[in-house]
Amino acid sequence: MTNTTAHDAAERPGAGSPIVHTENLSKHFGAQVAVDELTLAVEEATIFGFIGPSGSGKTTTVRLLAGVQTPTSGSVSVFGKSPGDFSERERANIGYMPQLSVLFPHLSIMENLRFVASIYGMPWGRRARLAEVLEFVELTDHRRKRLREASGGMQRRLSLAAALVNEAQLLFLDEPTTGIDPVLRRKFWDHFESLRDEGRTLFVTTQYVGEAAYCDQIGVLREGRLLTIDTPEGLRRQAYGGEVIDLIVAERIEQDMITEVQRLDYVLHAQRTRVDGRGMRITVDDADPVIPQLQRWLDERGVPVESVDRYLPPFDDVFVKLVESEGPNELTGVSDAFEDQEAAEPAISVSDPPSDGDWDELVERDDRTGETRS
Amino acid sequence: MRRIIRTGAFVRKEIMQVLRQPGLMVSLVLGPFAILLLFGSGLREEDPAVKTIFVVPSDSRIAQEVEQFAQAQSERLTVEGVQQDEEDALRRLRRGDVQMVLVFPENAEGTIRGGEQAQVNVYHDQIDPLETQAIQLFTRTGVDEINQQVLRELVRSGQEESADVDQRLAAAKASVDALNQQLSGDGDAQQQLQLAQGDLAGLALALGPSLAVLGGIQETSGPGESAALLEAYQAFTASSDQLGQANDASSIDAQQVSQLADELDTLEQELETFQSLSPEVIVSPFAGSAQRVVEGSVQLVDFYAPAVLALLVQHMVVTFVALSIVRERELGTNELFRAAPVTTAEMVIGKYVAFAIMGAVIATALVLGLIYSLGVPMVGSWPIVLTTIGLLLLASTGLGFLVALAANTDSQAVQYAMLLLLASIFFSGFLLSLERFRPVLTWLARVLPVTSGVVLLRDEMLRGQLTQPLHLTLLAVLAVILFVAAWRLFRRRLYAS
Repeated sequence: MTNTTAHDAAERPGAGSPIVHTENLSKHFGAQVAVDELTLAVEEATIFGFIGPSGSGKTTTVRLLAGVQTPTSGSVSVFGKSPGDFSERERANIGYMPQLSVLFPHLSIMENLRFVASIYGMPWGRRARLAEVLEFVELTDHRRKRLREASGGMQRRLSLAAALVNEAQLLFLDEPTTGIDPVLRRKFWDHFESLRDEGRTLFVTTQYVGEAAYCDQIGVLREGRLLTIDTPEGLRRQAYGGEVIDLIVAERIEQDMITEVQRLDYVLHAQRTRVDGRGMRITVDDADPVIPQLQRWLDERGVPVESVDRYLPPFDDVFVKLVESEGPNELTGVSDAFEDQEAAEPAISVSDPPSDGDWDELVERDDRTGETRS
Repeated sequence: MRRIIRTGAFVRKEIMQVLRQPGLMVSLVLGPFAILLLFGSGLREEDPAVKTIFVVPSDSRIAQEVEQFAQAQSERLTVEGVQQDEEDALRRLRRGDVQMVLVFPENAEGTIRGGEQAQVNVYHDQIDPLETQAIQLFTRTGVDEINQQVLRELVRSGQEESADVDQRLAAAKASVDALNQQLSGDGDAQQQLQLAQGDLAGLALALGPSLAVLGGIQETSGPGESAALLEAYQAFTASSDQLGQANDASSIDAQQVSQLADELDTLEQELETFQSLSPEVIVSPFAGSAQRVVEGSVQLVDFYAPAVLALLVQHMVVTFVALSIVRERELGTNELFRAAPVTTAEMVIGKYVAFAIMGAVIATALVLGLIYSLGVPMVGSWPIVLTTIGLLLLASTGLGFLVALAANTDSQAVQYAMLLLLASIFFSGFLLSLERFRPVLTWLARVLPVTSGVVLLRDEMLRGQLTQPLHLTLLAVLAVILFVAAWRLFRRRLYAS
């Protein structure tokens, strides 16, 4: 699997025209501002990731876009229409997965899925489609289980199956991978990518910032305000001011050497990173041509290099850096918010205990994105 | 086609949800029905006998009448004793050994002779207003019965004393006839006048008390068999008084004496008739007998069974509907409905159809259960009974929507449904007739679908005809109004954010 970019997206069918567009969209609940002057455009046949701490307004935004709630001010356009004016056909072309399980606990998993298929007007000959989505979310063996007896993870998988069942052109998925085990989470993202490649558009919120890597465009939301929209790579650049190279040498790096590196034309910034003093993180404009030049420069000076590689910072760090740029007074709060979120909403839910595969999956994802975790 | 599929989704979902909650079915349908079954099989048709002590003073001349009365009350009263000690009787009442004590007054005869009513005091320990009312009624009818018994005895003794009256009447007639002859001849009219005055006064004295009692009876029970006798007696006393005031025989008109003689003849005839009459007929000239024009016999359980059916149908449907809607709201399923292409009309109709189907099945089972297990009569038309149940189901579904829209949680919905049940028990005519309420409340009660349901089902099942067919129209109108209100308010609530 390869990382996707906005450029890749532009080559897919339908890409390029905004299917979702908001202009100064706001939603207030009394004095509380849930979404504040949000302006964004989601192009067709892309995956738009929406990331932010708990309470940042992700779910409210999804509800506004899906027509579940009405805006206080501003405008929303989906399929070129305000959600309030959706016809039956447009609604049938939207798949919606709410943040929480909203289906019926006394009905079985299959009965719930059948119910959702019916309210989307899917005709009686839908058996194959129901079986297909159940198989995809790995609930075939549990199809007769009542929802109240299903684990939290199973309930999320059913919600995702319900959002996918009507083969909609536009999918609003509110935290589809929460409570899902890492292997299945990866499977879901692969499927989202294949849906996008078929020309469908996905608007996905997630609490796992690492999942931003799977998106074509990412919007970062905080306290109802959109901080930025960019590609995953673009966000890293924004956060660090360029690309990052990690250098590790055999001996302790002296301050004189750091000063010399900083004076190089192609270096934007350099700082010591390791406790033993043998590491240096160097920010450059474009890492690929710089790495051989830097290697040569170090060799000429007889510096015993152990490794010099491009560093892809984890998105957790990227997002913290991005929100840091909002102002020093807000930094602590934002960091806490992300930490609180991780603490309150663990990647693996109580109903799905962490397995050995969880860490393997993280390593696997790191291989894919090139991220290293500190 | 898609509309049918979407509506059908709700029909299927609602039915499945209810079937998957057998506890709900038991508590809402089977439970009340089992209670009704127990009520029907365990209820005694006759009123429970009240343990009673009669207190009669030792020297009372009515003791015998009281004893007879007490014995005659075995259906209503369990007579624990007829005694003289009032304090002991009241002590036993306070202890709860008996429920009622009847105390007859001392020297009742003297009180009556003194022109006053003798008071019978009834003491009881009931706190139930209905039981208290029953005891008040019993006191009235009981005292009436004792009065009648006393009167019967008086009449009987009056009749027995008639031999003496006959002699006096014969003497009076002879004296008047003699006076009449002497007034037209040369005899000593003055002496005969004095004799006649004495005989007439003796007759008036003999007849007076008995006919005074008869006069009293006539005042209370209306003109009866003794009316002619009293009239004849009044005419006689008027003429007799006139003759009694005369001091000189020369001042007496012979025609006046002849008239008196005729009146004595009439009195004699009426007395003969009176003596031949039964004291029962004289004291109680009218006897009452209630005849029901409705065919078949209706027991207490039969009377309540159709009302329980109406109440169960309304309560069951209101609770099911309210819980369904509130739980969808609590779960957040409304979020999904707002995003999906389903319309509120499809949702509302789907729920109506689902609960109409379930309600019809359950109501049919209940009706058959009432008829075949409790033996409740069904003398009316099945189409009218089924139409009533159908309209009741539709109206109750609408009411369930309103309950759901007022409630925020499922426990609140259950509470509101229970309040509605309570209001229905009190104001629907289930327990008390609607006529017992003030007009405003009567009209408010008609807003409850069960009110019309109770009237219609009772009439059709027990009478075999509708005495108030307007209730059928009222129920239909109510069903339509509640449907429109449910639809509009449900849509408003669903899209309110």
